Amino acid sequence: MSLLRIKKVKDIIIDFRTSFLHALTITLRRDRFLLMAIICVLPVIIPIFVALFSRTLFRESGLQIFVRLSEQIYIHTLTPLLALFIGLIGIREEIDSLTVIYLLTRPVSRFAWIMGRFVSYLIVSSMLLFLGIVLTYLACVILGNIHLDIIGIRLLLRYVGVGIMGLLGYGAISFMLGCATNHPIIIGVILFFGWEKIANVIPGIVDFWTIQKYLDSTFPPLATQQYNATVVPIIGIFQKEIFFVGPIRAIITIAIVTIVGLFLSVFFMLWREFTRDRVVGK
Amino acid sequence: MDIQIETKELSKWFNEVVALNNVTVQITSGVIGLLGPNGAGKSTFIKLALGLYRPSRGEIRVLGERPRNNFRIISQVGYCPEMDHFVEEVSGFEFLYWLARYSGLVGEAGQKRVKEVLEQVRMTDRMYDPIATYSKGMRQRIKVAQALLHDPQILFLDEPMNGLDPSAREDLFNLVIRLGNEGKTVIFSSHVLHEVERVTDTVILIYNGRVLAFGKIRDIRDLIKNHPRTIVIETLEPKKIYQLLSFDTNITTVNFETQKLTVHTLDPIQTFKFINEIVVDGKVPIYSFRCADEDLQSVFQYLISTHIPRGL
Repeated sequence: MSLLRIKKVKDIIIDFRTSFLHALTITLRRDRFLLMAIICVLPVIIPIFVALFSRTLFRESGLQIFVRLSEQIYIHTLTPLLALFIGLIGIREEIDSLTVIYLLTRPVSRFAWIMGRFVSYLIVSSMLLFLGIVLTYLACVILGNIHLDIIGIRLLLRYVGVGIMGLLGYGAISFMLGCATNHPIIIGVILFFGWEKIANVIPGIVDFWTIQKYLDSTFPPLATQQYNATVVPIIGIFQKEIFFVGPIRAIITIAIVTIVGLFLSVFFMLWREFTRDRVVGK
Repeated sequence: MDIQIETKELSKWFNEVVALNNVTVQITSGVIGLLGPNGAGKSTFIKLALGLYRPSRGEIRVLGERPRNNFRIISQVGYCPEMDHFVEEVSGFEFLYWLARYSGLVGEAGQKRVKEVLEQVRMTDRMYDPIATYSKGMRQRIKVAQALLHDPQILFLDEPMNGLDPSAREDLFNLVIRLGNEGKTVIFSSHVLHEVERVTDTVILIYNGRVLAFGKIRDIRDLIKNHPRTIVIETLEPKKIYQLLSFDTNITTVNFETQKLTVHTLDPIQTFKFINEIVVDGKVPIYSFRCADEDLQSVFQYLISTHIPRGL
């Protein structure tokens, strides 16, 4: 079995480092990276606009806006978007442009190559997400009801953590699609923005087959009531119950999705034939 | 006998299209020409040897092992692909630098090796320019350089002469001959017979996915020496030219067109000699003359129709 001809651990680490650094140099000079960086900081404008232009007494507080932007924009929308558009730079571009042929004719471990690409994507995307969420947090502080204190920072870090979990899960699926299919972005958009949204309309049935379900389960309970010490413990437990999945189980599920996704990516890289000839014809 | 590549009843098909059909060969070290017209199955054969494709049937062994996903074998082969694919915005140096790292040449050793191979293909003066600014010939040289990076035992060059200027072609011919003399195995794929003749006298003839012949070029030359050649002569007076050529007994048929004469000859060298004499004489002007079927396609068709048994 040729698959059993594996490399030494030391060589795999060297391959991983090369793949990681290579992917980093490619990603950071792509227009797509700049575009995603701009998109990630765009939500910051919302609390600033509200602070400057909203005169109504019923305007939402800084905490409410921060929670909504973190959950709806950053975690539900930007994490799958980053997974598709940043995650696929390192892997899919090489396949589409057929430069992968140079790589496939090198003695580089496919596992190390995929992992190097994945870690590079994870670091770049996490930095963008972190930057966006922190700036949004700081902008929301202007609006009040959220402060630069331990409670607020804990909330901020929780959302960053959930965002990174999202990047892991969505990223692994994107990588798998990139290695297994010829149109990963189209399929990814259908999965992440079609299937996930529809499935979550009916909670408790098919939503178990979405990443969003598990990310929602790790959201801070009653996030908009973080400064209300009485309400949080009581209703928070109830809120956890209605999600059916606790945070620990959600984290384990995302970890499994990530491992399976990456395993399948390596498998498809080994199994598929990525180049096609002009074949003989009559 | 040091067998470098061995195939047994090797076949590869893509859906209903058979790209390679029942190929059994044994290749030893040295330079081997892989000769065949476009679409014959040369690239498929190379990609099977590189492990990029799985055989649909049969077996291929490189240095005694199956090549697919086999790092020991991959580290001993180099490949210059036919297709022109690059990351356009990076420089030639950077492109090779990363490939050197993937080949295990890290740090200064990698950079040194990159500069060495760039020197070999005479690209040092432009090595820091983006690949997008390179000419076709320069891109071809970068492709050859990346194949040499890790000093492979077996080198696959798929149509390496495409786009090269005469000086670069000469350099590459010499490089291939040198590598062959050093004991390396070089599989030199081409659809042009005289290109292959420059580097080796041993060829594998592939046509329609099948190996038609495997042996010395002179044997193939013997096979095709009776192949009638078509020569097209452009002139204002085709009939006068024919009269002058009527002494050539090798001419079998003649076709007249407006300002054009097409002749079929059994001995093109002799007929070209006659035409040259007419040109030098200058009594009847000839604007141009060329061999219309010098390409391998016509040679192969001739071979198929005359020498290859039915059913092959």
